[in-house]
Amino acid sequence: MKSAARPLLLVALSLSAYFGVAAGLRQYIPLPEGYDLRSKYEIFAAHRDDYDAVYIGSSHFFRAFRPDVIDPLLSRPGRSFRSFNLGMAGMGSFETDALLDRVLALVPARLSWVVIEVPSWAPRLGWQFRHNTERSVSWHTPRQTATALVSLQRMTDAPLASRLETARDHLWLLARWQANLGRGPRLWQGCCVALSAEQREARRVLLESGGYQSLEQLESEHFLRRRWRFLAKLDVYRDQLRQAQRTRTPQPGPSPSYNLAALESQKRRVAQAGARAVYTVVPALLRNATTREAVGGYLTELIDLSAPDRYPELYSPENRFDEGHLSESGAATFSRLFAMELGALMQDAAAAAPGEGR
Amino acid sequence: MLFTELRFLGFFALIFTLYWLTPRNGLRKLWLLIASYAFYAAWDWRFLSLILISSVVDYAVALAMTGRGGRIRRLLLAASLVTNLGILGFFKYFNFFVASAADFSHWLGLPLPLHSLEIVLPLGISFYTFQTLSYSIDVYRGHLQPTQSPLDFALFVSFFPQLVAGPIMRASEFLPQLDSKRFFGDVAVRRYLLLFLLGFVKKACVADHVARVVDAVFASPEAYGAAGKWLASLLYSLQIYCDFSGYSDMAIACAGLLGYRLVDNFAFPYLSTSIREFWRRWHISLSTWFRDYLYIALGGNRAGSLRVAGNLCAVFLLCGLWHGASATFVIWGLYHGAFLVFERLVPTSRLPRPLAHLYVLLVVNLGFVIFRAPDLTSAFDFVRDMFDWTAALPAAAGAAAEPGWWWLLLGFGIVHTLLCRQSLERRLARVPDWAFALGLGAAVALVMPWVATGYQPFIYFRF
Repeated sequence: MKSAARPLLLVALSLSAYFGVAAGLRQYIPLPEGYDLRSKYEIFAAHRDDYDAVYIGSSHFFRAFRPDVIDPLLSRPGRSFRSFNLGMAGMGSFETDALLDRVLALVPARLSWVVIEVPSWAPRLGWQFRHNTERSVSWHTPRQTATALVSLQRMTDAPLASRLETARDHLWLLARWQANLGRGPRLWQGCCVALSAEQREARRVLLESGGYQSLEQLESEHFLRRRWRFLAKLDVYRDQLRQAQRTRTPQPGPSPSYNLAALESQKRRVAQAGARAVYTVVPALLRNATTREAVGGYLTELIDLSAPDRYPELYSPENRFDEGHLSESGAATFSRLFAMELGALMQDAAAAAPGEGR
Repeated sequence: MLFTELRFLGFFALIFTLYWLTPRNGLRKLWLLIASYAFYAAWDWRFLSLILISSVVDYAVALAMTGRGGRIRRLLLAASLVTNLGILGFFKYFNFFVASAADFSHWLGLPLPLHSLEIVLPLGISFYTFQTLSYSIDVYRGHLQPTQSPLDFALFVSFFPQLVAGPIMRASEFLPQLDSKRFFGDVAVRRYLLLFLLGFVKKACVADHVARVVDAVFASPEAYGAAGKWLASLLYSLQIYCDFSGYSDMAIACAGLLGYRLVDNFAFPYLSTSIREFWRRWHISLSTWFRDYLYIALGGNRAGSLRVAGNLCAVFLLCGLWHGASATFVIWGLYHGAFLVFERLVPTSRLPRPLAHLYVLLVVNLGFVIFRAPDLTSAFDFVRDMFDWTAALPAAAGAAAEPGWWWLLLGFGIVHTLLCRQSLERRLARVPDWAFALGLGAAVALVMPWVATGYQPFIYFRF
């Protein structure tokens, strides 16, 4: 027995050293450079105690929440309100949740409101994750991988082979995350490479705008083409709008395949950090409307600004960059409407707990 | 299944655990044989039949030689040679010889309607063919008693750590190890764990990263100037060394952890001061095979100078051809043979040591350009451009490297130097077990971020 215990003890020691060092190294690996992921998070981290609210979600969030519009509307005499837009292109539910964990781990002193895009918990790996990229590795924490696997298990309508394949991909990405496999160059950049003057300037601009950036500001041919395509096919867009109005039939409760436990866990973690989660649907004709349908009437703290009949101004072509994203002026209109809704929630919260809150 | 893949670690852990838990030697060997066949079948199960044919033929031939006269022994040896070299020749060289014959007939003005075949090269065929051949030849020469155990022989041919890329073992070195049960207490666990980690770093962290720079330059050489080409060629010398010696280190370590000793295949070859010495340090198991079974059979050093020169060129031509069915490998072999002949005329021992090192590095490096190039024209163009400093082309081949990688290379160089001087092993021998365990775990965690992701097979798998 003694002879068997000794090698096992040595293996255990070796494994603890391995996991310890791997976890230590992971702290120095920054978020991926693209999509402003790293810069936005690091700006927030550097000013963590300055903000009352953060907005976390996909590009729909990124291009919709304008802190320069929202903050003055929610500030009171003697009590300023500051918020930061942490929305990022292509960010799905799991990445949003992983980013939320990072934000909460910073223990931001003033943070009271966490505005989150209604999560779909769709476990399929999207376009930005298909190629085993650093971005796909960065959010494959044990929690997110487990949530993805549970969501996958609930997708009973999908073929088993395809679910197993997706599960394998998630597990491989978790293994890469755990071992920091192939992340040396990122580690090097995180701890040994100073920011360039250009990067510092880009961060200054993002800090001033509270993390918001309109698509019009991007001098990118890709986005310009998208805009032209949208303007050239306005008839199609109007048809889609009419279609969306006709099919808007909210369900009484969440769909059976929806991962409600993950949603509850998210709300709980935000609450434990002393803040409140507010789920929001931004006006887009793409996926978030269907997500809202999946959650049904379950979410009570929901700010739904996605109804074309109730908020026609948010759907008018001059306020839109394309079908999915608001233009700069549309974002200003959206932000005013959102501020009113959040203001109402803030008043309710203050009335429910006088003298409490931060 | 590559040694650097996660699934290999799982595979090896299973084999290792069951092997040491199995009480009887016969059962252990059977388990290893099954595991070896499974390891090979993971690539392509169809080619297992070739290994089986080789094993059956050489086992039977060697047994049949016992007590037979010279003529029958010669016939039996011929049967082994024809079978093994026939299989190797068909799978590896058929298309090469058909194409060469077609070119030659075309040159003569008598074009022949020759067609090549779609042939897949079975993994490791050159390695296990040479291994089984050495057995038949040793038995024929009377240097070795044939084994009676088909299990032992089958395991000798297919032992998974060295099956696909060597080291090429001799039966006289391996078969006696199968006679008795191995004891875990005799295994130098620390040494082999460290050796595996070192091999892993060489392959996954150094060779595979270097490959990106090298591949970028060799893919479009016209985009790089002389400096870029020199950098790429030097890095290729580093890549092929780390790739192949890394594989050998991991193979030796895996076998060692199962209680078997494989021969060393590399001994810091770039520290050589002559090409002759280089071949005593580079792919040792292959160079000694050619020395023992071909060079000496041709007369070795005992013949006249002209004959020795001819023998050297012939042996190295075949050595080049062993690497692949291509004119670049033939020329690479002849190139080395020519330098060996040259060194017999002008011994490098007269050169100051730093100059001798430089000479070897230069010769080997230029040789590897021929080895790496897709064809002879590209190879000669590449070498010519390395000496053409007038072309104003970018030298920044290193830009393809990832951030921080050059520092990693420096760190690897320091560790390698320490290993070369054996001071690391000496120091580690004094470290208590618990500290070694902690250090090993930490070292693995430090290494993993620098693993190049993406599938990068070992270079020598092609041979």
